Amino acid sequence: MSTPLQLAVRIQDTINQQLREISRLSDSDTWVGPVALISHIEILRVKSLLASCIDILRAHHDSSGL
Amino acid sequence: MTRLACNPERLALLARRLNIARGEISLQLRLAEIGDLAMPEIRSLLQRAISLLESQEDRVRRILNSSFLNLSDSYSLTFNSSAYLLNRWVTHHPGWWSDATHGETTEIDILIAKVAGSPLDAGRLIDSTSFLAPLIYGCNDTEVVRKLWLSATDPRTTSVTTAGQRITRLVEEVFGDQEWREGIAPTWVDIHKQLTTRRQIHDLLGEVVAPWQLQFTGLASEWSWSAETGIHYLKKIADAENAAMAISQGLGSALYRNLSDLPDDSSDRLHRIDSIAFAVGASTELLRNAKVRQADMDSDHLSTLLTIPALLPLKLPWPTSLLIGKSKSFVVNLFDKTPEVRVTSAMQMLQHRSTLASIAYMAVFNSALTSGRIDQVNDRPSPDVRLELQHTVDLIDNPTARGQVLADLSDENS
Repeated sequence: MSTPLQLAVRIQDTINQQLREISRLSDSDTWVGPVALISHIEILRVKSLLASCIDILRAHHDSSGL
Repeated sequence: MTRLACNPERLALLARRLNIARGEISLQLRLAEIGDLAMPEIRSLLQRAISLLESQEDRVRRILNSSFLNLSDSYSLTFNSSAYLLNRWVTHHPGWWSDATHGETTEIDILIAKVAGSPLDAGRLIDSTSFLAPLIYGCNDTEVVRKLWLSATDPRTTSVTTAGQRITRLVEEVFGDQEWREGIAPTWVDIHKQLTTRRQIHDLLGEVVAPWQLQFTGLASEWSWSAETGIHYLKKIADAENAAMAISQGLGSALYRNLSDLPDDSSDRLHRIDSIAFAVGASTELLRNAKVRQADMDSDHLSTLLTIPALLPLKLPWPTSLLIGKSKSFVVNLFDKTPEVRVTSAMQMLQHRSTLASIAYMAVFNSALTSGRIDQVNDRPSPDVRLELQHTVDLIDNPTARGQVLADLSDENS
């Protein structure tokens, strides 16, 4: 597996594990009313940023022909 | 979960997860800077993700580290949300203490009642709350406060250290400055009700302190304070008649509990017996000086104490010197010419000590039995154990103390 692909897999794991757990802990059992400081939208933004990284890394892997 | 609430335990877990995720992405950022992966877009995207997670984590930790929650104690992540809700309420309602004087259930009554019955939750609420006054004066119903503090300091479920941390905070708060009342001007209703509440709290202190009274004197080192400070507070607490009663009634079981588990090392064991004997001397002397109703003492206190040996499943070699009636008649003969109150007070103290010496004897015997220094209940104890038993009895109830009482009374009458 190429280095870009290895990093893409690692970032995907972060989305699947850590961010999923963060998302679970940010649900309505934790946050209600005025203490809802962390929204799911913010977590989605992080996910989106990481997903973009994965896309770029995969594209880099494909274009390099490895 | 109720509205306007958060779950601090989950929140703390969230902070940790955010931190782990941020660490992982930081590592990925470093990996992305190596060799052919050094792509500016990747670097920028990962940095933005890190920055977002960082700001989220900061916000969560700001809540966790706010004055609502005291995380500096050993409970760390296991505090409960009641502390958050209570402190939030107090912060936004400077008149919380005035609410408690209006004869109606307050928000604090409701919050405390939820945890008061559980030793674990009650303790966590106290430990997680940096501002203690609402947990003492915030309820309209003092029974809720009583339940909370008795749950959180119950010797059956609370360690010596934890009870010490909670009770020392409690007495310091009760006898300290009441500056928190400055938030709002009191009305006459407030003042009247607060006087009643304060009396009830003083009575409650007696009940809370009773099982731990030896830690105010001879065993003060277990609570990391001096015996002088402990006695100072114990004296103040015993000024309240009902508190003095509770302390008096709790002395026998406190003595038995503290003597039942003695150190293996003989020198440490004797040191502990000495410390406990000092504590018993201090308590009985202090209670003698407190204005405890004699009639109640006769009917309640002694019968309570005397039931303890009867309940024990031990057939002990009972020394005749410990018979209560003997010391009582001895004292009556000595003091029948002195003023009645002083005589009964002195008699009471000697009766206490005699009874307490019996309890101490049984506790030390029991300790020797459970630690294997005595093989069988009916065996004659070894000379060492017999010496230890005699030492225990002599320290708590001895002719010198009886002579001292006689001398005190003689001085007063001359």
